[in-house]
Amino acid sequence: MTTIKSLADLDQLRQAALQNKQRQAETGDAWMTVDLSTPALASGASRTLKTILDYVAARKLEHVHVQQTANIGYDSLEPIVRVVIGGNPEVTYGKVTEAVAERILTEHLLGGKVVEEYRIEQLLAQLG
Amino acid sequence: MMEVKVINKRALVLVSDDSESRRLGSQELLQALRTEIDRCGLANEVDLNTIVDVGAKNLLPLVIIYPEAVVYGPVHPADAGRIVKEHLSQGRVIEEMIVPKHQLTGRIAWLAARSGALPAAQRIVLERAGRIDPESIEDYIIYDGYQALTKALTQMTPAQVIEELTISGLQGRGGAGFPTGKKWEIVASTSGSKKYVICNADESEPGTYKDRVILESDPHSIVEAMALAAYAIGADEGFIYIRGEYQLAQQRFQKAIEQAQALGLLGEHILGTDFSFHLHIHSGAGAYVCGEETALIESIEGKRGEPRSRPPYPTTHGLWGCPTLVNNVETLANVPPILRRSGEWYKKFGTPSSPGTKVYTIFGNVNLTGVFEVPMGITLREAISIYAKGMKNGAAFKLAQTGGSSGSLIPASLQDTPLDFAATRKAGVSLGSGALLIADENTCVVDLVKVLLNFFRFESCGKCTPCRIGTQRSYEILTRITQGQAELDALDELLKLADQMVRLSNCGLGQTAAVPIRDMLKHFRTEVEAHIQLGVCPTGVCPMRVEAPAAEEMQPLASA
Repeated sequence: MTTIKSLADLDQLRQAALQNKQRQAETGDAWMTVDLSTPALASGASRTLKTILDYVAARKLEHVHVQQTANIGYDSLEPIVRVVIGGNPEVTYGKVTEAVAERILTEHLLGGKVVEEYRIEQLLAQLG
Repeated sequence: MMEVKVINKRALVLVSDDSESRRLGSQELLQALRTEIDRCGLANEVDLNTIVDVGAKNLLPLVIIYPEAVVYGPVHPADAGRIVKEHLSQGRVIEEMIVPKHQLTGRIAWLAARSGALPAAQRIVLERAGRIDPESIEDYIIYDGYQALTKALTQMTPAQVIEELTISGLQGRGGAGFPTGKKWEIVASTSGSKKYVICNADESEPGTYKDRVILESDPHSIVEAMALAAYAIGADEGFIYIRGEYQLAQQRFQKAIEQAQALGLLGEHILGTDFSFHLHIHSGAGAYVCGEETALIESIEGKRGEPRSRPPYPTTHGLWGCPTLVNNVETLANVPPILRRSGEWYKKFGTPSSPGTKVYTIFGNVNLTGVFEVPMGITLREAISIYAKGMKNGAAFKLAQTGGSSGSLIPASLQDTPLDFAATRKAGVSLGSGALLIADENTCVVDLVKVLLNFFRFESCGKCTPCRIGTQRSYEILTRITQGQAELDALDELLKLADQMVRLSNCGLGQTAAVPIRDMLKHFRTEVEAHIQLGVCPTGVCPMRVEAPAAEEMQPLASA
């Protein structure tokens, strides 16, 4: 990797990274982003991540990419997983245990149907 | 599909309900608002409540609507329909009904002075949190990363960087609220061939974890900010003191340093200029007192984590006797956005006396615990109702503690005070580091303060007597109160101890350990006296008898 010397260099790097993202989105592949911050790990995000990776590997789902991110702020709703399929809007799930992760993979990623009851909006609403 | 009842409170309506408001029809207004809200089907989305002591006698009854913090007045029952339809339903603020700001007084005026769009929509510090992969420098760069550093190094002088910060009015977010621009200026103007930048990430205040969130989700923003600070004050070396418990934060920060070095954004001759900056991680070893900046410096030097006598301050005699800049993580996280845009832009958020946003961690007896970032100046009531989704099991709010163990206890009567540095100071409480511990009516205040003092007596480093003995003795007195063994003069004893701890302690630990005691006796004295004189704990939490042998309870720290 070359080093950055000016604003132009930085912008060039940024554009390249952006284009990379764009190309990825155009392929229609699916992205699953798992929150791996301390509160998430404390609520079992590593088991959720393992379930997802195992599922993807076992079925050789090459169009599914698994990424990590960190805390979005809803600590009591961890583990949080986000799903983006192609250009579709992002869906955020909360309280994704191993069983829920399997359901999301089967119903949403393969079946194309959002698992409504674990959407973060629904979980927030239930809190009252 | 599971049937879910949607109760997602997104707005909070407060109606003034003091005697003068009632005379002018606030009860009818309340009724009309309730009817209208029900009619529009908003009952599950809008919280309706009353507020007293609003001042502004000629404008009553007042209606305050959160999260926009719009103040309408005087509002007649006939206006209820319009407010519900236009504001709550369609989200349009009714300009002609807004009270002119100069007519408001007291805390309501503070409230109206706050600016910024819808609170939750505007994130500055946590802008990238949860949106990027924290271990990818490309992700950071996509979201405007390292632009501030590149801009500063290629287009700005160090003095200009400091000036921009001074214009922004940014205050230290560690709790004390010292103007950041001024601090940088002092270090920059101190002569010395070697200077240091230190980022204080020893976040040991129980319940505060905003710094961890920042470090875990956006470590590059701190790398960039520290490089900017070094450039501004003329330092070439920096330390980040991360507490030992934050393993994940340390790993991610280490990775961030390596990635930045690979791109030439850290190290020798950054961006091909003469500016060089080396960054090291120092892991804490679990001492609360090392969050105090001089104890932290001692700890980096390899000595015992004991606070130094001040003055001289670290700004002139810090790490290894060199001028040192010590800033909190959240303070630094605000720096790159300010320099990327401008100080004037930053001033648009928050209140005039405390610009910008604040990251809060909220926990306790609330429905949703977590982190949120809002402009300075939101009220506690708003935080509980809108961001924490209300109290757990519908219990009543009793008190909040801001800023971890050493923070003030805020009783329910102060829950409409805007949370910014100046307004909270006026109300006699401190904003602290941004932890909001929310306690409901089932919490016993004596028990709570006892737990806090148990923590302090454990964490006191023991260097100075008022803190070492004061925390221990206060804990013993509080224990006796919870056992029903105390006399009324124990409270005078407690106050005396608290006073001595504040005046004579060497550092902030002993000084702030007394704060909860003072607040308890100021706001909840009747409850404490009930323990002593009636022999009952009003909430039924305290045992009110000697459970274990008293001698064991009173043993010194070593066996605790």
